[in-house]
Amino acid sequence: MNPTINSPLSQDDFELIEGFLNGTLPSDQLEEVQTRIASDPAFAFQVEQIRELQVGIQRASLAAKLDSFHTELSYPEKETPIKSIRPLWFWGVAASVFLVMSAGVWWIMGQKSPEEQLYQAYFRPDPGLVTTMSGDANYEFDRAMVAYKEGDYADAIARWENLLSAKPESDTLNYFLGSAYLSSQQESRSLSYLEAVAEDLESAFYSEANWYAGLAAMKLGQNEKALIFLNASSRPQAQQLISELESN
Amino acid sequence: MQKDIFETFTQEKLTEGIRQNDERIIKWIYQKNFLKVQQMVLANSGTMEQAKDLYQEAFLSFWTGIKTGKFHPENNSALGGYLYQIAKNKWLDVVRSSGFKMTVFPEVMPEKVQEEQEDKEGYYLQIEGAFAKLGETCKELLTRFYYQKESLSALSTHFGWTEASTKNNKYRCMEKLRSSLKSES
Repeated sequence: MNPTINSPLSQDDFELIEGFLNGTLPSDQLEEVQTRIASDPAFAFQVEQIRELQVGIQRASLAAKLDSFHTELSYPEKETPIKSIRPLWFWGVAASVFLVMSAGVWWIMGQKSPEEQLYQAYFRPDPGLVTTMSGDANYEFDRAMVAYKEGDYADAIARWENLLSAKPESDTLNYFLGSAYLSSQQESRSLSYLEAVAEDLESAFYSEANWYAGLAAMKLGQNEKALIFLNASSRPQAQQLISELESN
Repeated sequence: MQKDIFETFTQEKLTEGIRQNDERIIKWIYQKNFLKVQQMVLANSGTMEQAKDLYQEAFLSFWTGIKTGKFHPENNSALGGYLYQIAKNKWLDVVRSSGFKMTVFPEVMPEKVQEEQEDKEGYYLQIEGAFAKLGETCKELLTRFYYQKESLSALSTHFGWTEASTKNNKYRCMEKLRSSLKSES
């Protein structure tokens, strides 16, 4: 709409119009506004203009947020890790354990298949969703999510499987059960959950489910299946992994 | 209070969420419907970047349609269908523009369905541009009041103003916005 009439708007009229648009005017003022709209085109135009400005401001505020919605689409929200203070001896022991483990990993890497090595290079557990531990019906889901994020996959799996019996179609439950099984190195079980989500084009987890299903299939040596999943994932690393897998 | 996203939302709840600017619901709708639109764009000679830009444009039109009461959902998949249709219309405009080179013919791209609010899009973009040029305080004040639905008393506490000043400042900011639209028109 291009304004054709631009008369000044007093603060009293502005407040009157806002009250009218919000539906908060007492009946006498409401009648006054309706009469003025019918008889005064400039005032009627101002009412419409304020209505559109209100929508326009909200739309501009929303537009500023869309990129952050989009970023979270590919990379699920991460919580800021809470730093813990540990005694010095802890770091000494940790360093020793790390050295021993590194030597072990170096030896084991030599024994792994190319697919397992790729898996090791690309797999990072899904960081999970932000939880608020509220007292509502989703409390049990949130408790499982906390267990998942603490690495207690068995506890998370038990809780989510219990919820899944009531909501077998839930893409969120299927996705996180698949993630928990994959993180606890049960690739076949993981695939059985992830596959359902990976086929659901409307799921918010579609891309991620395809990524992790691809990794699970690859680790199981099912490379053709893995490529189908990976091709459906919009993760930036998917194309790189596909070319590495194809060159094997 | 944040609830888990696997909760099933009814169309009424989603519509109400949009009208009330419930960001959890708006984000859920955004994320739920993107991949379908992306697939449509990629299958019709578009790029990932074009899919994202087109989707965001379509999403704002979709939001405006719900917000202004131009669209009322009638069945369980109506909102998703409405958003997809807007995106498809916008992609048809791109595909049919003279600068667009098709490498593959679109499979079955139906005729464009006319959007009622299409003529308003330019005006909302003009408001968006004028809003971006306001001072930071005005932008924050108007965003908190109209988008985040904060009360005058909460705003007064936040800015350290009396309620009368908050009302007065809101009026002045709206007048600045209104006059900048006048000068641009």
